[in-house]
Amino acid sequence: MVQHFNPQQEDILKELINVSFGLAASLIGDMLDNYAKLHLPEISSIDILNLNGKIIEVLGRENEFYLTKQRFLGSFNGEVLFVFNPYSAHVFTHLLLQQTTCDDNDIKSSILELTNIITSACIGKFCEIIHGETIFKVPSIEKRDVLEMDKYDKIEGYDNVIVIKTALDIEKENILGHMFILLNNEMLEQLKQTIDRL
Amino acid sequence: MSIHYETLIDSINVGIITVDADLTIHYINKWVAVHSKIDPDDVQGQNLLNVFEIPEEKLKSLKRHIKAALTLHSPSFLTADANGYLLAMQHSMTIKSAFEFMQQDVTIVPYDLEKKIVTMLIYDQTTLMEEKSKCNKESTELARAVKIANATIRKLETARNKLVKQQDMIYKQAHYDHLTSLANRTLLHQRLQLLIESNLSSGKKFGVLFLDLDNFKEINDSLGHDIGDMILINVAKTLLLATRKTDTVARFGGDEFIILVDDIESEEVLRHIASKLVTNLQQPIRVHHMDIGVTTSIGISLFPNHGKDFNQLIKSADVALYEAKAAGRNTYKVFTAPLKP
Repeated sequence: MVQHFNPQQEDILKELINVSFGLAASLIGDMLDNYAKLHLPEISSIDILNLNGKIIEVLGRENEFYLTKQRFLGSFNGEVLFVFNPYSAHVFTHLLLQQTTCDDNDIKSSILELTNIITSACIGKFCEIIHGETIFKVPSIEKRDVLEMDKYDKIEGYDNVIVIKTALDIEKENILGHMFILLNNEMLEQLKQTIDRL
Repeated sequence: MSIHYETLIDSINVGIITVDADLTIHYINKWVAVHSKIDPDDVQGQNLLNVFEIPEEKLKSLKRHIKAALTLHSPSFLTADANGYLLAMQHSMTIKSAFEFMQQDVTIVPYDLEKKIVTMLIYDQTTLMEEKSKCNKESTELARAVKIANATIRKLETARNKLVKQQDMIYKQAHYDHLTSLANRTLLHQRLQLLIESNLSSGKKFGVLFLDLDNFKEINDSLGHDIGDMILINVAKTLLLATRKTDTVARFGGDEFIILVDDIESEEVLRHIASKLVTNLQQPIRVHHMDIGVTTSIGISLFPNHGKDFNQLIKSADVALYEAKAAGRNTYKVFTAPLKP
């Protein structure tokens, strides 16, 4: 696996993400009227060509999953994807809406709400450190199947992926998701240079 | 040139509502006024809930999104795909629509952080959602049609396999002896005809061995038909073991068997095979703890010397068989044509 960050850069990146996650967790806690802790057990970087393989890997035995996509444009640009297995998606929706039954639209809107907060916090932090400007496009969400990966449109225009395993602890539940930040070489280099200066 | 922002804002195809965290309306643009049939001056300062009926769940979601936008200083999104609509507005579709109200993407962006005011940007996505709904419907119908087609194909394949099995069974019933599984008379006739046709043109020879078990009637009468049948099955196995795969071994009827031996150099080959069969069949057959001795007599005819059609060849072999029986049984005889006067 390609590692785009050296250990020192990785430590700083983790620290930055942790700070942004703290802000996001406080907002998520407010949303749920509950204590929420968002942490990142793992962070890695891969080549864009290995993205589908990585998604399949993180899902383990699960075939179905929810995928959110959101582009951010400007002097710092790229795309954020989130992958949630149906169980985690359902648990979060139940906690947010406090409904006994949740349909697919409930799950989609709840997951979008969650990922919007994490994306804004995290990408906002990156923008802040590189003194960049970015605008967020409208996110999308869809339910996908690992067995039909070849049928979906390929994402183009990026070279690298920062893979962040996110774990959201609420009550006794541990909601796992994976965040994929897609960047081209130029953006990754810019991020690394900024990290080196910190 | 001075820019008239209000004119600009009123000319764009996006709804704009500015509200604070308590949902008090500070501004609405012409787009919202037109689609909601309200007067912008009438609603300024009013609560959003007095103007639009928002269900409780959607209201909670709106408040959360406003808070997220103000806390993160970043836009927050409610999509038509997941939420349908936030504010009930007439859509502008002039064809029959699947939706009662305009489907909306709503982006909530911070406007004044200090005063906790946000701007709601409303995009009409009804046409897009209509298309998506049609696509989904078509995909569902297509998937259903594919499912039905696949089920039909599976049924047809099952029926075809059943038919092939039945045809195979019918063929076997029509061409093979049910007791010994050897070729029956019909198949023997077909194979013999084929041999005659091919050997007539090639000039090659083949032989017909007509076997009849000696005193089989007595065995049947004394030991019973079940034992008799088991002896016939054993004899059939012995015949198959002693012949080539290319030869045809048939049960002609009762205790009579016929073997077609193709591609022979001379009569000597047939004598050798017949001798071997007579010897092999002399071995006692063990049935129900009893060793039963069976012998056979064999009559041999040769194509084309002793006949050029089915009946003639069988008849010649039968005559030779009669001679073998007359010679004391448990032996073979080759047909000898009577001397012409």
